Amino acid sequence: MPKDNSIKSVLIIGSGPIIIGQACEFDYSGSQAARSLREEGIEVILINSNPATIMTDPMMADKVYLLPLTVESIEQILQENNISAVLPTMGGQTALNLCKEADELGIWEKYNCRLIGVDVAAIDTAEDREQFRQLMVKIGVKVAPSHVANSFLEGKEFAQQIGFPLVIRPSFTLGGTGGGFVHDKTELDEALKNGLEASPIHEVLVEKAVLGWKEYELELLRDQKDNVVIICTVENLDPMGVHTGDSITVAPAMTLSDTAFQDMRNQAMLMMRSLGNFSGGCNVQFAQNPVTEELIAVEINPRVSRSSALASKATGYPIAKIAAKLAIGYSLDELKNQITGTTSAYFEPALDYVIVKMPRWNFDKFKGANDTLGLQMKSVGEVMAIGRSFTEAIQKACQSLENDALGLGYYGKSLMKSEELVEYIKTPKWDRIFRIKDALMQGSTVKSIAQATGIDKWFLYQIQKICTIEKDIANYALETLPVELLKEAKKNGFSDAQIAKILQGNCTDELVYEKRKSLGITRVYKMVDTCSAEFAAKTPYFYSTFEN
Amino acid sequence: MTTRLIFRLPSKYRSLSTHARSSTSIPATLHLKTGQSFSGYSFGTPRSIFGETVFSTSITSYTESMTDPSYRGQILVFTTPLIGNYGVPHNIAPRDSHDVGVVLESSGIQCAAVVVADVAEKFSHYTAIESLHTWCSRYNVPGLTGVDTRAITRLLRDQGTTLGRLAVGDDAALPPPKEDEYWDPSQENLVDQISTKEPYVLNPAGDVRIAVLDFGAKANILRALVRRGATVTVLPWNYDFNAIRNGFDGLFLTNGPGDPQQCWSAAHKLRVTLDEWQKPIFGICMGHQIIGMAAGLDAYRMTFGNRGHNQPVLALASSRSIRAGRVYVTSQNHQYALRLQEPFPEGWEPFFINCNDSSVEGIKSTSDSGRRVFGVQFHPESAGGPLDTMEVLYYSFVLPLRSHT
Repeated sequence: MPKDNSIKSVLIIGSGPIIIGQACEFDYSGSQAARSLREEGIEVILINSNPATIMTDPMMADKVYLLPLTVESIEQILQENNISAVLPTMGGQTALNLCKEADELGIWEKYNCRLIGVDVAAIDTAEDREQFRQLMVKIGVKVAPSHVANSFLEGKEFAQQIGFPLVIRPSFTLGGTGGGFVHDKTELDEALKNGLEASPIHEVLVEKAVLGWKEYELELLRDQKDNVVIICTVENLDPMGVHTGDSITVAPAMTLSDTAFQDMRNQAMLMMRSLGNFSGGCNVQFAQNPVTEELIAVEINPRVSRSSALASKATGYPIAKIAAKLAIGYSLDELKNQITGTTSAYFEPALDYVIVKMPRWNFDKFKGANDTLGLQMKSVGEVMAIGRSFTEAIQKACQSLENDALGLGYYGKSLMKSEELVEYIKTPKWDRIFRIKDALMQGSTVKSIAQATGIDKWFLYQIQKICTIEKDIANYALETLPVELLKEAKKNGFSDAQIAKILQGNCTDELVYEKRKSLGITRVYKMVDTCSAEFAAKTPYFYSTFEN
Repeated sequence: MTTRLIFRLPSKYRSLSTHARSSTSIPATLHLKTGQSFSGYSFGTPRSIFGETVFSTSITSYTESMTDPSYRGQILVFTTPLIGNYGVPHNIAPRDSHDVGVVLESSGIQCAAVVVADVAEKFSHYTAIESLHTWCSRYNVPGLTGVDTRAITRLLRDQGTTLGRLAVGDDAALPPPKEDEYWDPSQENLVDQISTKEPYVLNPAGDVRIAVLDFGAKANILRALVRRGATVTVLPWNYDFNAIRNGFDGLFLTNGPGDPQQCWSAAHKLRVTLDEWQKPIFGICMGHQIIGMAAGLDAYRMTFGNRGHNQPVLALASSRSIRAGRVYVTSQNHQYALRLQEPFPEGWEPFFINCNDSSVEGIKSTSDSGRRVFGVQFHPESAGGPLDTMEVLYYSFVLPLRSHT
């Protein structure tokens, strides 16, 4: 199906102010979409209340409105311009909510403006937990047992029926605001009260908590012919219970067998196809029981999300750009892979590297804030690292946090004993990954840490590998450090400064650098090319690594 | 396949599974016939071996790929750098009316050797009983790790699939073999080595009777047919099906390793079947190539083939739930393909083509030919890879059989 030529001008809705839970990822997707549509000769009109974004730069759109994100602003824009369609999927939940509000008032219909990239029914189904649950039951996808409550008393009643632990999720809120886990009655009362208040429609979902299950996210694209592809699979290192935005996440999934992955892929496609009849991007989250591989659908977002920005960078597949093209009528097989320029956009990227995303918190700036991680996102930013191995990627991520971590380790080393540490890491906090490493350094077993945290043993074995190398290095001074060990350390992401600190005697990162340079241990650069080198790439980007 | 397995390996294997590292100190080198060498460390069995070097871009499913008989004789390079993360499951399933006896794609490792950037020393999965290293050791298969698999992939992409030798231990220090010393699996009939020697029957109580010519069948093909209620009679690849065809409702030709030209005798027999027998025939991978050869098409060797889980194929013709114009993401593993020729032999039409390289991905008999025959180059049964075409193709084959009995 080629481009729909009746679409002459498109309104893109931005996501408003940058707040915790909704950061620059929507600026990235909005800018990509604007560029992608203008490439097609379509006039792009943009509304965003936040002038501190790239998308509102004058060259990004034909017309930029810096107005509050309200129905009144939308109506004003529609009056002043002849707009054929609105694309609300690039501005996060804020844009979707505004779009829905305008739809309820009949604004789009009044100005003969079509909705592209999503439909209102899909927004409703995805955000209204009860509708979502019913749809999943209908299509045979499992969900956690739950009930929607519109009052405090109702909530209490359902909580009793389902049993603790529970999740309280308010409907129509951003980044999990107002939600939380409850393990007993006192917590329940508070969570219900907060949740009902946080929801614009005074509604919460009382849901069984699948704490400790593994969490996965899939990024999907669908076109008008109902073709669906999975662009990226992201595995959360932190199990269910920590908001995805606050989880350390890894792409591609590291611990999934093919049967488990295909099951997840099929269910995600089924979910997207059941959710209205629109073309564009979509994000699906699953919880997986680690000992049976049973899957539970957690949520579906019919829009470009925080994770799709990450997935775009992680795979080289520009999700927002392609989603915008699909929204104006193109089908996937009519578009080209943007990196190779010769192969089809209808494919699923194959990665030959590992991506680690690590959140960055600023609790020192929010004195008195509860620093336990949970349903509500608390991080203020994130870093993304690329390596040929998980160990390299996670160490690079730690080094990029701008908090003086030299790698995984040497950052506010804990004075706690190993038993205390194992107890401490039971509660997810910002420094959990560092404390896990401390515990492993002190000899705690992978088994005990896996039990305490629910983190898959594979990740812990990898961290243990980092510890083993660190202990090995500590046996040497720079002069005696074996070449093979230095090579091994660099391959596993140790920074020169980190190695200098671990070595005996006084050593500096410059000295380590000089030594490895003289030994020919230097960086090589590899491509992010969407296809694991199967095809030649025309516009790839690069990451550095150490390899023979 | 999600039922929890209670089988445990004897303790001698278990202890090995967590100490793979000790073996990584044995040097190993991959030599390519084109002159390049890649040095790293050995895992699995430390022995030297010849093979045809190929790469696969699949991210999951090393266990399924390595047991796929189509990889026979090949040194398999995984582009995914971390392989072995979820270990290897116990590969025996109860052989009952709905299973074929194995969890993976055959009873053992089929490829000649594997090359991975970073082999997982430790694994984590609830069904896993051993590490990749231990598994390879048990099947006498050598592995190479600690090499730049992306560099190897780029070479193979540009110069095509290349003959190679994995030299392990003391051999690693020896000079590479001379050009004429490389073993070329395409000169051998690999199909004959792997195909069943005697016919056997699965699910005798099924309601339709399918004969399967076994060129090196993946277990999931047989599993898929059996689980859809068919009685499956597996025959050696060159069996004279025409002599017994009246006892069957349909014929299936499986995937298999190597060059389809080695199997001309099967194509000649099939030509007789096509002329004289009007019941449905379906082929996958090599089975599809044999159908094409019997129909008068030419099979050729591709540069580096298609191996991975992300190959898009466009349907050119409609057939039941397959709609012309739709694209499907497919799992593939092949070096040879049918040549797209103009015009197509009478009574035949292209069914699918590859969206990336325009190679033939499927053929079918035309609706006015009086035949009901089709073949696909990709693997609808997946294992591993996407299952997008599983139902549409199996139901296109099995259901019609049922309505005619």
